[in-house]
Amino acid sequence: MPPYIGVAMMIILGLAFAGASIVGAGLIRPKHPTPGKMDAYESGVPPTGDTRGRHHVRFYMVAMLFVVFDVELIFLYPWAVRFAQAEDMAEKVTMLVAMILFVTLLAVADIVGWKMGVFDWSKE
Amino acid sequence: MNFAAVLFYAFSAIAIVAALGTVLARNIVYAALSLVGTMVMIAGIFFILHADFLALVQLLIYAGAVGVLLIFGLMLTNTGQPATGPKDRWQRPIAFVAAMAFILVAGYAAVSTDWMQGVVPQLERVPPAVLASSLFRNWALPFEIASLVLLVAMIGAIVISRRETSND
Amino acid sequence: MDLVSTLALLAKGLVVLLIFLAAPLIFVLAERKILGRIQSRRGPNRVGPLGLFQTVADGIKLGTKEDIIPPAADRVVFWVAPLFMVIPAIAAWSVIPFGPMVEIGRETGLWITNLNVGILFVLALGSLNTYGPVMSGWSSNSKYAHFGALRSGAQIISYELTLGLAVLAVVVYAGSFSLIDIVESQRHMWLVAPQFLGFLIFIVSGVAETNRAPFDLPEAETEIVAGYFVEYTGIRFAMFFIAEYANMFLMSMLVTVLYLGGWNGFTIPGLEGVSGVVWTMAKALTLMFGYFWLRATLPRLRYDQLMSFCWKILLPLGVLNLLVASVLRMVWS
Repeated sequence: MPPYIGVAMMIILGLAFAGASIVGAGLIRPKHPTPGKMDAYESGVPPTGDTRGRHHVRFYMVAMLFVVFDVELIFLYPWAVRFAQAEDMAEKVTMLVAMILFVTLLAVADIVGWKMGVFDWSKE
Repeated sequence: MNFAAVLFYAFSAIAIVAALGTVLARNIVYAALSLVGTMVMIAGIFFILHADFLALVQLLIYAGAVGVLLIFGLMLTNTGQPATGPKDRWQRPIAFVAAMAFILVAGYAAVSTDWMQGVVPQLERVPPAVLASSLFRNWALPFEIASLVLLVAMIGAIVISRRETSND
Repeated sequence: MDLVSTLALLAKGLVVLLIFLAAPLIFVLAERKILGRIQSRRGPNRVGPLGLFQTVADGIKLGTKEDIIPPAADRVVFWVAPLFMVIPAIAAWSVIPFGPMVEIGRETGLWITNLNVGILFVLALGSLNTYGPVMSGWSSNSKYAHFGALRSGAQIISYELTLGLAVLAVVVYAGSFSLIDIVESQRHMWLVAPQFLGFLIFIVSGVAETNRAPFDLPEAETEIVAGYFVEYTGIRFAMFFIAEYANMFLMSMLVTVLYLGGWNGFTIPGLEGVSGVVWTMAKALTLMFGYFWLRATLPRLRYDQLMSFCWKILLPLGVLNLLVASVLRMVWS
């Protein structure tokens, strides 16, 4: 039995539960919309201005850093398995050196982000 | 038809619909979310093909990281107005010709390929450890260079976005 | 695939679904009781004996509430967003082991599936968890929701990295991605002993990933009311709640499996299955108590502190932890 069947089953069960509860609640819940109710909630004050304005570019920069880290980290996972299974010392040392080089790149990325102030959310 | 085939056709159908949504949606956030949907479905297809690690790379990198990057990018620029029609109408005939050329080439490739019909593929699960020895031993240098390129690209992106902030 | 194993799989799935749904009912009540005790109050004590049915009443109330979709909201995304909260949350449970292999008529494991990339699967679903908050916040078209979505997105992706770094060191020790193999490898020593720093990094990142105090900025009620789900009502609001508590419990189970030896513990021969489940649950529930304790004890961080803590302290520590773990592993084995 392929292992992904269990995963597929849980996703289907989840969808069934969510769909059934949303539809089921739709049958019993009241519906009396009033203008006040339909407004966006902004602590009782009528909403002003447009919500979907522009946001600080820092969010984008963090996402950018995340992509780089994520791409590099995911290749370390097979490395970790191989490293744990390695038998002879020579292989272990080569693998370790390759990993340290790789992690150095990550460290450089972190330091670059640090120096460029991507993580200083309180400045400016 | 077995369970895997049912899943494959379901995933493929959703992936194609979502890909069409990416191209056709006027609302740019819908387009981005459809793209994420396509990525998740492709990850599902990799799963069925026993490429577990590749499926998770697809989920983590494309559906996770790149999708979030896209949506953050949209939120930064989003003015709330849906896209208006294309401004460069003169490009349409050229685009049509280019699309036709692509369809011809792709169609020719699809027709002329020997698809090994009737051959049941033997799927082999490659353990991640084997992948690791290729990446970190046999191909260590190109691999490190590739990650260096990625790092440089990231620094470039940060520099560009920083310059934009100071101009505001 | 024969009928018996199909039925067994379905039965396991239904049990896990039940746990998923019972988790918020039990843990919301437990949290309110424990918070009450810590703050010298009694907590809920009106509905049923000792207030035990409080959350059941709350659930019924949420199910019968009016469902408001603000006209300014983007209806499609607003509708779909709760599903994006619930589905990754429940899919992750399919690889969590509750106990060892047992003999019930035939050999079967107390887990739904033994995915050989199990831990990566959980991490991948964790990164999909970004979409629920971001979609609901964007579609609500409300300022609080928008801020909550942005905060949540940046926070989840940042702490996802440190979580991944901690897991990497675990894999260096266990030599497998399968959660079952990881538990098996801890038969003689729980990984928390050689990986104490990794354990701390994982716990801190886990609390941040689940948007809980002191990292609950995306839903900070004193500044942005409820954050990304402020515009949700009724059963859809309940979805966010279910997903949050199920994710907390999932994170506790993960810590149990990765660091605290999972089902390993004192056992009576012949009762390995029962003792395995009891041990797993006891460890996970203790960690859940830790969640509530943290919430009662620590004030909320500022957003700049949250981000710089992740990238300037936790991430370098994670890299250091990985290096130390690799070198130790090389020398030690």
